[in-house]
Amino acid sequence: MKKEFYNPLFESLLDTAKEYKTVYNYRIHEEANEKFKDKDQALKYFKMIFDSWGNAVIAFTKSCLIPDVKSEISKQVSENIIKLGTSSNSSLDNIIKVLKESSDVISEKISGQNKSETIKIVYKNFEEGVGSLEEAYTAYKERAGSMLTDSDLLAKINSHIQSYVEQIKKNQEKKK
Amino acid sequence: MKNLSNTYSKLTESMKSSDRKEIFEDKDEREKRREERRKKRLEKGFGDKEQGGEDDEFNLKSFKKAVDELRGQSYAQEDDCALQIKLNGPGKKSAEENASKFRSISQRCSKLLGEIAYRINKEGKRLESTDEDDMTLIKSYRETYNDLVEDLKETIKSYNKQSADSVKGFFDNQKFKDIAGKVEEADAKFKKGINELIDKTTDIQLEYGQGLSVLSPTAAPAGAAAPAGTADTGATDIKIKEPVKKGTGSKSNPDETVKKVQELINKKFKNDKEVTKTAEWEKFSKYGADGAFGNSTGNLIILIKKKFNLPAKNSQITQEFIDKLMEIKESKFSGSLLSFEDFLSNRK
Repeated sequence: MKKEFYNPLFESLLDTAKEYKTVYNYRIHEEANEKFKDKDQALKYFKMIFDSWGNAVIAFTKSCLIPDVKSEISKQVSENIIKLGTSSNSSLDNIIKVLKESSDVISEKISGQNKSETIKIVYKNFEEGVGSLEEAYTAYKERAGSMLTDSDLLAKINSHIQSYVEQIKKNQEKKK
Repeated sequence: MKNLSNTYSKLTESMKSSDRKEIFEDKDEREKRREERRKKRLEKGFGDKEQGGEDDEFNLKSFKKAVDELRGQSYAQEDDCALQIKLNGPGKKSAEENASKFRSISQRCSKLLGEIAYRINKEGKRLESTDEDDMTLIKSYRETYNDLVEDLKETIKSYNKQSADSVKGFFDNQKFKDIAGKVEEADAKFKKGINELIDKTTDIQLEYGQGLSVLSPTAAPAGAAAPAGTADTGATDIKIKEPVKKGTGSKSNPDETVKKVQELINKKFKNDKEVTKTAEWEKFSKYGADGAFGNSTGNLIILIKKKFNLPAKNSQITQEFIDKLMEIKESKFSGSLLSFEDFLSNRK
């Protein structure tokens, strides 16, 4: 037999809850796994990651205050970046791999030198930032799904990188 | 009494110059002598120590390196602005506003580098602290360098702040927070790193042994070389009316005096193993000179007060404590706490 029962606290909570829109579990789940709606959106988010990463690699290379370490880093990083911009990259993973390699060069050379402890502490910020970008790219891959291998998207990204590298070269020319 | 008079007269006799010209030489004589020394230096490979050079010299080559590295930092910011403008992203506006400021700083560095190169070419790679004209030049170089550091510091901080403000709205409006949020987090870390790098420019240059402590904005005036065995009075301007108590200043609102005292402590003790091996130092060094007088600074001050036999009932920063800090003799420490003389004779 169903028992009639009235709890004022429960009723009050129920009234409050009714004032809000229901969010169904499946919708939350759907948003968590939502893919990019189109290639433009995928391009926008990739550029966001690439630009932040590229800018940081360049800024931390050029700002290095220890001349011999700086020249070692600059040599390898500029080779990597120029390579990115002059050849068509075969995949998004490869582009990220080159950025990661460049960041690793910076981190290794800085932590390997024994001239300044302070610079090691300062460059921890760089390493942590790179860590966040790696996480961003992992999330990106989830959202991109099959678009990751889309040749049209890759071509657009390559074009962006080429123009990015052109700008770096231009900056370099101005300094000469 | 008789003995004393004899000794005194012998002493005064010995101090007399055998050559009157030495005492009464005119300006032309001094100039001639100076020119001869220059020639000698140029002939002897710019006066390297091993080739019989003099000690009281200002190493222009080291100075040139330091200015060059500073220009590198300015270039990095200039390039960042150019990229932000090209990328047409959220950072474009702040980049446009600051690009010309960085360009101007780079140009000032280039001008100074040109001047140093000219000086090296003309007079060799060292200036002499015993020469009045050279001392004026050393002082002017030091001031120009410090101005450049300060201007660059200010501009980087203002650029990063403006850029962070404009980028914030951009990231907030992105649909996929898992990506945008992480990129925002990374950007904030990178900006923090660049800010710290410019803040610690002189510390880093000092650590890698270019002997540029004299270039620090708080260093002693170039013309006032510290007597041997006395402190590098790197903070003569710290004068307090009343003791500074723990709790003064915070990370968001740093206190200038606390910051200066923290910098002074770091400078004086970073090579003192007796202090750096302690837990108090370890905690203090994690925060650095942040201008916030918290427990880590307080505990270290008590430790140092005990070392100096000062009353150590509390951690208050007193004028007596500051004066004691400044009196520390360099000879107690090894490593990079360099005196003015060390700087002048630096051979790198």
